[in-house]
Amino acid sequence: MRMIALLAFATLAACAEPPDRSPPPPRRLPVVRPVFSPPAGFTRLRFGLVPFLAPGTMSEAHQKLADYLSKSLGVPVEIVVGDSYGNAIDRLAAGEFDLVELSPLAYANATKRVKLECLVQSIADGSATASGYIFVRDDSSRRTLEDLRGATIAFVDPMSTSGYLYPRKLLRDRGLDVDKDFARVEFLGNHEAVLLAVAEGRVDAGATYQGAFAALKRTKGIDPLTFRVVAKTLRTPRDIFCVRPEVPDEVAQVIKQALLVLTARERAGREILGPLNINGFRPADDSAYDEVRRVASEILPSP
Amino acid sequence: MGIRGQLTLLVAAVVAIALALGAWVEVQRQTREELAEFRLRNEKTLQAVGVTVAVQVAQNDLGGLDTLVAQLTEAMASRDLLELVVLDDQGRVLAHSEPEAFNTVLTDDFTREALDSDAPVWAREGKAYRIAVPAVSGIRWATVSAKFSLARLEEGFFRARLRLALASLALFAVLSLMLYVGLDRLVVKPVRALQQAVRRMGEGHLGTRAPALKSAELSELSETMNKMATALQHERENLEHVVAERTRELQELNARLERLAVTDGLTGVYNHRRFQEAINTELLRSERHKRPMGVLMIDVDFFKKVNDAMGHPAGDELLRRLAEVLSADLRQTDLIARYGGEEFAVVLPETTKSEALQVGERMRLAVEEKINQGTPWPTKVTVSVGVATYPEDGKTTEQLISAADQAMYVAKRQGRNRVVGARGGHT
Repeated sequence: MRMIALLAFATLAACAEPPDRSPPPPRRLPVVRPVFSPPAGFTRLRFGLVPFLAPGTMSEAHQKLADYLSKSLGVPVEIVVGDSYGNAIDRLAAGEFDLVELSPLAYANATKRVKLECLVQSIADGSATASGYIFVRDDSSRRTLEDLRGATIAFVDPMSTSGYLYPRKLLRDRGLDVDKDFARVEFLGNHEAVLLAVAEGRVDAGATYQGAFAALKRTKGIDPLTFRVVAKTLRTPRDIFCVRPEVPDEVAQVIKQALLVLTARERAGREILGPLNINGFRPADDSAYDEVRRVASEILPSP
Repeated sequence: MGIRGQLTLLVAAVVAIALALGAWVEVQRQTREELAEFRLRNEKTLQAVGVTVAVQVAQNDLGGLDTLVAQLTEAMASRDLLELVVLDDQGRVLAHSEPEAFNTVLTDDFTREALDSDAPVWAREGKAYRIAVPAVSGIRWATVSAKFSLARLEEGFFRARLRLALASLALFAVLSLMLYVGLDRLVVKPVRALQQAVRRMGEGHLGTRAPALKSAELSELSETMNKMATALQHERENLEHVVAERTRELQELNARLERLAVTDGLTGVYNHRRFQEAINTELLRSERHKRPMGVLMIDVDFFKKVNDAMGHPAGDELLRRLAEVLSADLRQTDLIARYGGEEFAVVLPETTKSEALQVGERMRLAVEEKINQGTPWPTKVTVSVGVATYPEDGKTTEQLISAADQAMYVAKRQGRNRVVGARGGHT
């Protein structure tokens, strides 16, 4: 009986699909590229990071990606995590990074100071964009943004997009001035720290990106339903990967291709991308960050 | 504008408007159907989306729901999706194509109706459709509400109407042209032909016939005109005949009257008046052409004896016979008249004195020979002839007549029955 059903289904499926459509060829994963020999003088790749997670977590999460790139390029890859968003940009400007992964606002600020060649943007939670959340602990009596007036609130970093810039804009649009209407405002350095501060009741509310709850569940095993979202911001683009202009073009192209072929739909890709909570990459498009630049110039006092 | 132009525009306009109206009704029907189809199609899409939404809401996957709504909004923007909202059972926004609307509560009538209904609901809102469906996975977890733009669809409707208008215009133009040409063949040309025939008839050419025409009415008109022309023609021919008859009669009468006016009633030769006219005319001609002419005055000798012995009827008979004899030998151009009583006068154009004398002599001889045969006249009948010629015997008619008269008296005195030329010359 079961065989017959299966046969019938197979026949139906065969009928439904056009007969000339062959299945797509399997994606190749050039994890090792023995054909590439790095140019003379290019002996290592310094991979700079903005500390949007706890510094230790950052290095750990990126290690497999660094190893993958190292194999692809044939040179060692060193991960360097900035002390803060601003520190990372300073060090980028000082020439301490060859490759850098920047969150949107950090990228917008960095391009004011450094010339960068951008390679890819990351895709996470199935989307190239993400909303920012303003949230409280699930047992909080604060249910709306207005309820947050006079509360304590934790942000990630003054240079964080979904962890500060967009929530600040949303609050302003709803009549709440971050500088005046809260009992206390804290910058906790990374998203993980903000979530933990709210979970532990050290602050009333926090701001983060929409994927942070799932990431925290993976790293710390904390149930996303510990938190309740009070408001969502407009969506922002995700992180962008760029190289300094000093990096040889052939090296940049190898990095770009190596990143673009990575996908969470394959085991090899999942092993590298899984710790980063991302699904894959797409080619970088600078104009995707124009809206961030516009909001930044509107919301943040110019330094 | 001629009748053709007016007819053309009228008929073409009526047909084009009728067709356009028919097509308009059809377009309206199609518009309604397309709107219904549009609504139904999007309703089905939303129901499919509703299943995914229900799963995510059931799992409290707020991030996944956001991504889904954001990606759907982006992907379906080209398919007229303006807004996509996921609502909980209180109308609170769980996810929205505009993320900042999260956590607000929608209380509008449409949303309330959607929350209360187990079936899809829809409403037209200006240039948009709002459609809401329950998000069901085992139980109802949420409501998916969307707003679709009708702009693209209405642009299509507008294009359809524009095409309709253009097609109507084109139809109108083509119809007009066809009618214009058709009417030219059917009406204008035949009517012109008729009009030309009538004009020729009016000018008097009654033999003209209007052409045979295809259309029944015009053909009838043409035949009627032809009958009229035939009747007129007969009438005129009849009239012409009568006039000719009357003219001939009148001419005959005139001729008779004229003859009577210039003829001597008794003898049948010309009378004195005609003689005067003739001599005047001939004299003028002779003067102009410097040609000679002669005049004879002829008097019957002893005519009184005949009258006295045999009575006036016999005298009249004698005069008739004399006229007959005297006329017999004359040329066509010569003219003889009874001058008075028993006196005759003759005008001889182109005649010299000697020729005139010869003519006179021939006449005298003819009288002597022919008159005296048969009738027993009381005395031998003879004539005395006086001859005068232009220019030598006179330049005027009076002078010529007088000269001839005197010559005739000379002949009488010399013993009668002789011819005497003026100035005493005689044979």
